[in-house]
Amino acid sequence: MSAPLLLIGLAGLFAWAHWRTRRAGKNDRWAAHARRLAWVITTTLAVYTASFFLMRATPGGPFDGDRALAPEIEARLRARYQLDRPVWVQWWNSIDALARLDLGPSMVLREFTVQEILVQSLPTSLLVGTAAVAWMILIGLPLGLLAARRAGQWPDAAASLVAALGQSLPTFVLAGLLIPPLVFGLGWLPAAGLESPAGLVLPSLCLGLPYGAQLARLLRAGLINTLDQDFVRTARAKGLGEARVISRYALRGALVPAIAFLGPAIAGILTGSLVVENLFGIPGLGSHFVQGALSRDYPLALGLVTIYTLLISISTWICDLLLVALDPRIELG
Amino acid sequence: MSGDAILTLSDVSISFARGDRTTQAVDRLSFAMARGECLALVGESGSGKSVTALALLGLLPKQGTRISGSARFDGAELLHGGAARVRGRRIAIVFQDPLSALSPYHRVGAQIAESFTIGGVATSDADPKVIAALAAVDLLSPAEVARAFPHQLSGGQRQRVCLAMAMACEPELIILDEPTTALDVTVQLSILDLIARQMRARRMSVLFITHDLGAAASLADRVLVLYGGRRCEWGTSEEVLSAPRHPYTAALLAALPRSDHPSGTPLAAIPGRFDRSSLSGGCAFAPRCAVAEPRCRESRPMAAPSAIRLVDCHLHNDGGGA
Repeated sequence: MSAPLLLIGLAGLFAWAHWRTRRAGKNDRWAAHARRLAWVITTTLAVYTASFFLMRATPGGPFDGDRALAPEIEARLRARYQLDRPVWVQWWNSIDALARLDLGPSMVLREFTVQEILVQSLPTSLLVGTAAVAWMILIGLPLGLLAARRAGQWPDAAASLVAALGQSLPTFVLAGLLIPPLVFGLGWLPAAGLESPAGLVLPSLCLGLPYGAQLARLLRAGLINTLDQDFVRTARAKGLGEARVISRYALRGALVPAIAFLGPAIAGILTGSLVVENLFGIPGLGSHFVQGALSRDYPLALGLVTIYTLLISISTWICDLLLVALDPRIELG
Repeated sequence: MSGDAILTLSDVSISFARGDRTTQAVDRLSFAMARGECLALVGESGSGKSVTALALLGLLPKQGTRISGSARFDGAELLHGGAARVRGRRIAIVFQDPLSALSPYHRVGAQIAESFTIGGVATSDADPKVIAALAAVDLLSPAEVARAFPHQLSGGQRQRVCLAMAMACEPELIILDEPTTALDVTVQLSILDLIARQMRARRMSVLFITHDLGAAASLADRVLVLYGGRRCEWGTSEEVLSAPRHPYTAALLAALPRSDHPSGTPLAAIPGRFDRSSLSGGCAFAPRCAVAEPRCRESRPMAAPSAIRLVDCHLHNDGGGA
């Protein structure tokens, strides 16, 4: 029985954090981290449970194929995957398996366990996602800087237009605009597949551009705000060059709202996108996300929800650590 | 007080354009400052004191700002981009609000060390210099303050840090833009005392911007009174503050609360309030002046530049005053 152990461990973690806070004071970082870890586990369990019952409440099941199965075969399948047991027993058993880091077998892709599917497609999604995060920063940072430095002038208007387009163009339209010239016109990039590094360029660009546009808008607003502040004027009065004033002082304040956005954004990018994967023929996680839910592949859909929850929680955690490092007035809570 | 002038402003005008409205913040301001002298720039809010200081350092926003005239520092032009070469090296400034003037993201020591780097001293040996700079402004535990972030310090400590930062590069001219306005009274006095001692010890020229006539009297060799972005009166602080010749200076001094009046005596005030839209070709103070004559509203009084004491008032200049 692993689930009870997990719950006891979770309660212990909360208790330890509480004890540590009382002994070492409110600003103790170990207590803050322990509490954070406990909340990540709690959140994951809560999201898992909510998704579990929502999926079971949805009409249909994993064995509703195009062809109806013979009743005795379906009964045997249901027995094999324990779907004939009461729902709350199924839930407890799956939590128990989750506590052993076992996500169970896929009910639709029956030769595979959910772990095997993850091992196959998660690295691909992470690869494309990392490249997309790079695009996001490569596009968002200079665009935001340019717009803020030339606020109200034509470079600002141009940068804001690019940002608005990047945010509002659907991915398939963007891909439709990029593929003809780059793939068929100039022949620089392959149309699909990840066999060569060049194949990574277009899908990651399509995935990262909307986020880059959002980042640019956040940075622009943040920079316009900080460039106006007294301490930036002090830095200029000290005789520092404009590049140093911006990189060392103004950008610091502008990054705070941007980083709060980056946590969820990075989790969203890393788990992939159905549209981008379909457009470029990439065997990533995004299509499983949609297929798992549509075909009522309960373990696969729940496994992916769990991974997504963990990714969001952990990237938000890292971003909070970054915020604390960036602004000494912020404390880990 | 003779000697060569370290700073000479002639006919400096500064205006801001917002949309189709233009605001004249400083209007043909001229004055000179001798080396080693402390000049107090006195005036109420909106009289153009701080704008003048920011213009001298080239810190006004470029967009929408129009600056004309000339400001020479040691012979070199400061306006129109020239200030970038000297600010932080030969001219330093301390701002009014010490909370917002320091970066919340960097340790105090690092912010001061940067000033040394600009002054040409390598960062590696900056650390003992930083501690020494903090000790020089009477901070009790300089090593601790160097490690602190600004939000961990009190207002007075922060203003001392700002002073240390400004003096780090051994500037020839230091501009103090209302350095004590944001502080409480006891802290104000100790900061003024610190400034007076540092000024003498380092033989710095000081441009002291304030609306506090008492502070001006205690610190300054000379006083320049501003109203509506224009000069009213310039002279030694004893002369200007004990025997004012411009009606505005006289009214300002009369408005000071006095401890020898019995309690219950109404405070004296200058009638009306400053209204930029009423500025015309005449004297800026004419609409509120008790002794204004018709000609005061028609032509702008300008003291002859050669005078030892400058009073920009028709009535005074009639009398053949100094």
